[in-house]
Amino acid sequence: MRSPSVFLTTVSFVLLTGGCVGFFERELELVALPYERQLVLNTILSPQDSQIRADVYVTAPPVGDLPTGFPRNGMVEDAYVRLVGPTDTFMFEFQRLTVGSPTYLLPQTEVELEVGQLYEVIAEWDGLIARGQTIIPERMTPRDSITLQEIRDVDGDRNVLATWPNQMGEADYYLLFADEVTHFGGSRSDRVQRVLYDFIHGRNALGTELSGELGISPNPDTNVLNICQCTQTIYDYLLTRETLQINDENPFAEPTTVANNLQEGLGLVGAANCWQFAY
Amino acid sequence: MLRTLLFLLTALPLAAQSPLTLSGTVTDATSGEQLAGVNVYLPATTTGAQTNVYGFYSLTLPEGAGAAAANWVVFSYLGYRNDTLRLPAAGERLDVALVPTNQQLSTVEVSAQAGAAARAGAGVHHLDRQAIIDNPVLLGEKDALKALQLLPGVANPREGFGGLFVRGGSPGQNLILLDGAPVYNAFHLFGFLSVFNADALQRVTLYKGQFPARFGGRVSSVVDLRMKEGNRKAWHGRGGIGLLTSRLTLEGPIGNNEKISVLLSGRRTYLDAIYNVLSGEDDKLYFYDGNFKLNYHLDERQQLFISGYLGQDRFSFRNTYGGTEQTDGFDWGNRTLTVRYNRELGDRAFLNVTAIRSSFDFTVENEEVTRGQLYRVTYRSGIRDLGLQTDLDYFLSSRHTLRAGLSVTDHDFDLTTSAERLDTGGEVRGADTVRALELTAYLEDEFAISPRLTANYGLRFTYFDPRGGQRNYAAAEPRLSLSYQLRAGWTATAGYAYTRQYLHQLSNSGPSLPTSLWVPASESVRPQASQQISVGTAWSPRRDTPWALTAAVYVRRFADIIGYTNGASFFLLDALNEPGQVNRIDVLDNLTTGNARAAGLELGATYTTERLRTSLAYTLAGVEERLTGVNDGAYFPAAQDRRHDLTLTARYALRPNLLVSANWTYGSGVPTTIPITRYALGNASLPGFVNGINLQGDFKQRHNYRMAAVHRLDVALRWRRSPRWGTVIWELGLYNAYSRANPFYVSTIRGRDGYHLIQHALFPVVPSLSFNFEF
Repeated sequence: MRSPSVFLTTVSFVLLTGGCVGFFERELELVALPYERQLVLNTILSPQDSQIRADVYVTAPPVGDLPTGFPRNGMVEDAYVRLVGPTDTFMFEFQRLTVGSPTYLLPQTEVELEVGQLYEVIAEWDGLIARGQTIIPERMTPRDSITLQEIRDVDGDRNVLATWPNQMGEADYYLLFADEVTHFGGSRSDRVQRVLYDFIHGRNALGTELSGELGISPNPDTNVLNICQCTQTIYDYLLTRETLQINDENPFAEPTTVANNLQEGLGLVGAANCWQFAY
Repeated sequence: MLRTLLFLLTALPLAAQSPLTLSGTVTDATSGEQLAGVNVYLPATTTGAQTNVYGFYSLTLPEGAGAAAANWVVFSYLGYRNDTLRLPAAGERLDVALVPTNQQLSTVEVSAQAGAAARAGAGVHHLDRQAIIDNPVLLGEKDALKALQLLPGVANPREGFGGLFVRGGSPGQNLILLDGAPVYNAFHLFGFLSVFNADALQRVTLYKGQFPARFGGRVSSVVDLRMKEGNRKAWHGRGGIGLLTSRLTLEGPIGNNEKISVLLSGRRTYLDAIYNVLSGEDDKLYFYDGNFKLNYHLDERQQLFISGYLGQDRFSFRNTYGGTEQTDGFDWGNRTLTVRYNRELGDRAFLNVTAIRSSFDFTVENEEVTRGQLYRVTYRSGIRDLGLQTDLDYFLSSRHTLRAGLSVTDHDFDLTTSAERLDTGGEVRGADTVRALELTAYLEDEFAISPRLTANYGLRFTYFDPRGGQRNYAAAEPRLSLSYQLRAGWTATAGYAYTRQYLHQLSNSGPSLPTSLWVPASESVRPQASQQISVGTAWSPRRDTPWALTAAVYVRRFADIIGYTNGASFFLLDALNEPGQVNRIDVLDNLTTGNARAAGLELGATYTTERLRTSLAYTLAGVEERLTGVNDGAYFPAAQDRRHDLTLTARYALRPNLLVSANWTYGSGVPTTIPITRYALGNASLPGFVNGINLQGDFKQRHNYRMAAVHRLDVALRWRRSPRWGTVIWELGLYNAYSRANPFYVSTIRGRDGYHLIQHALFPVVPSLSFNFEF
């Protein structure tokens, strides 16, 4: 009866050596992983904003250590960023803000965005370039056709239900956000927190009205609700980013490629033209 | 091609009919079950035939053959003793009962082995029940589809899964028939075990693309599973108790005249009972399935069969946190019902009339109860078929066997999802249903052009009509298969097949859940099609040599396939909006179309002696697909693109009652998708926004990374004992005997020190013990 003991010893050895420790999850070597270093540019051009913002990042390898000298959070602070308009070129300036992340700013006192005009935003850094174009859309929805209804949810929070006519077209994309503005008075500038609420594509088969809900925060002095006609690029970008977030760590979902409308580099150069309502 | 086939069909030599015909049925001597594929051979005239799936044969004899005293008929069949009988007088039937060899390792007749090798060279494989139960598998659960994975040209890209990827096709492109009824989801346990209880099966046939005109509706392969008919002579049973399931099958006659037999079979897991006792939970974790078959021999020429299948998987987990009680459930199941009447029409024709009902559906449910308020979302999807078909086999002459048929099928799709939401908004439903009619007609001829050259050619016409004003489609599908005997034991084959499929299965490209959707062809989704050209050869040397070798090469094109768009998954489909409502995300928003191409080389070898049976199957293959909007519209490796696939199997009878079996499989890595970069590493969102989404990676190219190769050794020891009441078989098994960490999927995971690429494996070495019995 030597065979059974040899068999059991072999099985035990295999179980212990090849078995459970590190079996189910194992880190892979990084040798063969593809990596493409690119510049990322995100900006939304809106005639209603006092300052145009642009964020510039550099991409990192998908796994492993960050390269030496990699900027904090990938945010590039010394890029050369400019807006090319129909008649002139304007430079963005990198600034650290009291609220929110540092960003590149271009005051609309220098440039005035015009509806129907083509604008290009270009960022250059360390031999990399990100470049995209957009056209400022018209506000197809008349202001007085938008109805706002204040409602309270089950927790007592204040919300506004905005309703407006469906434009019955493939080009009607909407962005809904709120600016929560705190006024400090004197020489101190206002503090603005911008909160995204919804993005909508009103397809022609969807009925006669569109609607979206925005929140009213009790803390700021003013809530400015923005109901914007936006470019399809913004809608696609937000939709794919949301999909990416939902599918995170889900092996049963198809991997998501975030929509990218740049001619070079990655990111979003979009535009939104808004009706604003103060609460 | 079409013109050639039409010419051949109209040029049939009808005048060549002979008045002398030998016909009858071949059955198993112990059970009375009819045997399909038995070789019936007249040595004196070198003419022969095969029994059809109901054991019927018809052999046209040369003038004067019936009167010649020296004329004998030989009946041979794999796993049975040959029988040689004298030709009966003209006009008499010859019904034959063959005796099974009844050995643990079947003694294989060399002539039958040669026939099997020749079929394999042409891409057709038969598996009997013994081949299925000898296969060492996970937890000892015998599985017909996992036995098929051992064949050349059949791949399985995920460790432990039973999915069939045949010659570059995907699982949704296989027609899986159980007694003629299509089975839309053939798996339990998220794909780890097929729904077919091996105890209830008589025989499994795989057609790898060269399928004749009588089969259609899928573009990749046909898996034809036939249930046992039930023993007509005596009551018998078999069953088993394993770590995962227990099962019982009973079969026997009703009455004493051997006219009616029944088979009843059932199987159920009991992990939930053990788990709930140990954990104190009330979760559901089980599946069950059952088969039945009633077989009524109205007389020696007429039969009526009624068979059915019912199976269900139920998984439900309850969780309580912070005053909220949450329940997540996932159920799916198949049901089939086949009613078949067949009769012999004279001694040359055999008629089948079949009515079929088949359905599959799944439900995903999430329920939350918070402070007495109920919120529940239920996703449902399914398909239901009702069909009627007639098939006629006509044995026209010793050189021609004609087959013709008509069928009509009504498909009812619960296409996407429906949902109900019982919170303050009340109930909302977003059902989207489609009905469609599918009509089919076929004509096929098995033509012995010369003693060495045979052809099977045919044409299949199909018509698909979605109701509600959608576009309809029609097609003619030519099929051709040639077989040429170069010399004794050496056969060369070639074939061409054009196949159409009006139903698409929409699955994600990674590991699949049973949430794959069946999407019918419509205005915006064309039916998929495939063309295949293959060439093969089979060599089975002299009678005293135990070797058989096969080789085949194929090239294949798939057109109008569908896939998910980037980022899509079933759970993103919008269940809470009506079709056409604002922001609804439906199936068409989530799918993209394209085509695929595949090519491969298949090599097979078997070596069989009285105590040892070994086989080798090697496939060198490539599969690429191209989908609009994916990878810039360029070809990329498909999920099933496994370059090398090697399987070695051995079955050795240590003693007459002790069998050791082993499989070693190797498969090179399959592609998967990983991000090429990551950015916006902080809490950044769009410029100026304080909320939003933090990006974690950018997936630019689908299937841009290959996982590690898979290899595994599975072994089992079967010990058979024979007490007075029957037979007992103990089986000790080891799955993944050397505990190879085979990748199931890879992902990037964020750790404290950055991102890591992690390989996830499922099964280390898994021992199993099962107790099986027969009486």
